[in-house]
Amino acid sequence: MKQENDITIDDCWNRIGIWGTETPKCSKLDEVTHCQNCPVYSSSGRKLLDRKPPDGYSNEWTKVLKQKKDASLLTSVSVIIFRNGDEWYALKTEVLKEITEMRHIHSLPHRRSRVLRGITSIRGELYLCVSMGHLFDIDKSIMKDNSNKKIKEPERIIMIERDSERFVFPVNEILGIHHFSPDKIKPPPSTISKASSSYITGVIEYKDKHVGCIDEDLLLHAFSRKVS
Amino acid sequence: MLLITFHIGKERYAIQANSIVEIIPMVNLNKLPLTENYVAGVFDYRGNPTPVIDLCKLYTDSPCKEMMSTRIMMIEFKMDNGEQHILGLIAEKTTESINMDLNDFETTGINIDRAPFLRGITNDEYGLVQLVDTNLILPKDVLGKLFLTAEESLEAISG
Repeated sequence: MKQENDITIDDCWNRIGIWGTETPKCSKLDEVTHCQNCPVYSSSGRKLLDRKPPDGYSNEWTKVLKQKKDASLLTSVSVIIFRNGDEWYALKTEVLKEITEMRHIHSLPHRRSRVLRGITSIRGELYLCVSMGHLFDIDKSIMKDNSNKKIKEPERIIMIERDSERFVFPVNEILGIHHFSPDKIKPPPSTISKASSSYITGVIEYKDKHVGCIDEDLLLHAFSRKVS
Repeated sequence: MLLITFHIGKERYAIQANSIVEIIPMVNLNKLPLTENYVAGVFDYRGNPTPVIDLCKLYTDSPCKEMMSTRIMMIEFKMDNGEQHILGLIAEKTTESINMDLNDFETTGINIDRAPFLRGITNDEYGLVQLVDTNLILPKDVLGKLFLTAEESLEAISG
């Protein structure tokens, strides 16, 4: 394969590598399993950069680098936005460990708190499953639709972690990860319910939704207190 | 310690990644008149006039080749008067980072007066690599003058 600017690249991966049809295969393949792990493959990729830049390349970059960096992005906080019942919440991604699909929650005998729902297995590891709905006292009636039919069960599980203390809790819907400038966070309204007010530090607006920002320290602390 | 490797001619060098603000592609540079030939020029870096030095020209007398892999490392300098300045260093094949213990670099035993920036040498699977101390690339007073001229020149251009 001949490139312009006189770079010769031997595309051995197309001949005797993972995409090749020739036999015998490359002897390195046993060692690296896939050409993508092979230093020959990556150094060939780097060689592509040893070409003359295309026309207008430096003009474009000169323009881009003239612009000042968006200072609001530097201080922004990244949060995961999710819904529980009718309420939207945001939690800092620092504590977010994983999001997985809903799975069976094994209830525990003699549990004292309704916040502790049981244990659940994620890839063979057992985690304490807690209920944010019970902690925040989100009214069960809200979880039913107009015809008084129970709406669909929670669909996703969020795993949070701090200082190797992990909890999972189910939520109804996850909107994704978003960035906010700290000055966009407004104080929570006084109409907020009593139970959740102690965990909500502020409210942000996102696509016409009022999203309550949860204090991750208080939440984790409350969970560990309720399960012990 | 994360290091960024680059080439000057055939030789491979490394500098500490924590001294680098950003690595950017080659940009259009305005020439600075009456400066040393290793000063490649000055450009508007995020609103600040920033001088750029061609490392190949500085050390080997032939300029860096015009390649996609020839990039500018933006390095922050703290001057003696407490001012912060950013300097661009052009080097070839600025495409790799390596993780290495700084203690692995051994002194060569040869002290070159004209090259005090060389802090040691070591090797990995790709061959020898020499550690460069960015603070010693140019004397502080030369740098100070350079930052001053850069500011003046861009004011002259924009004014």
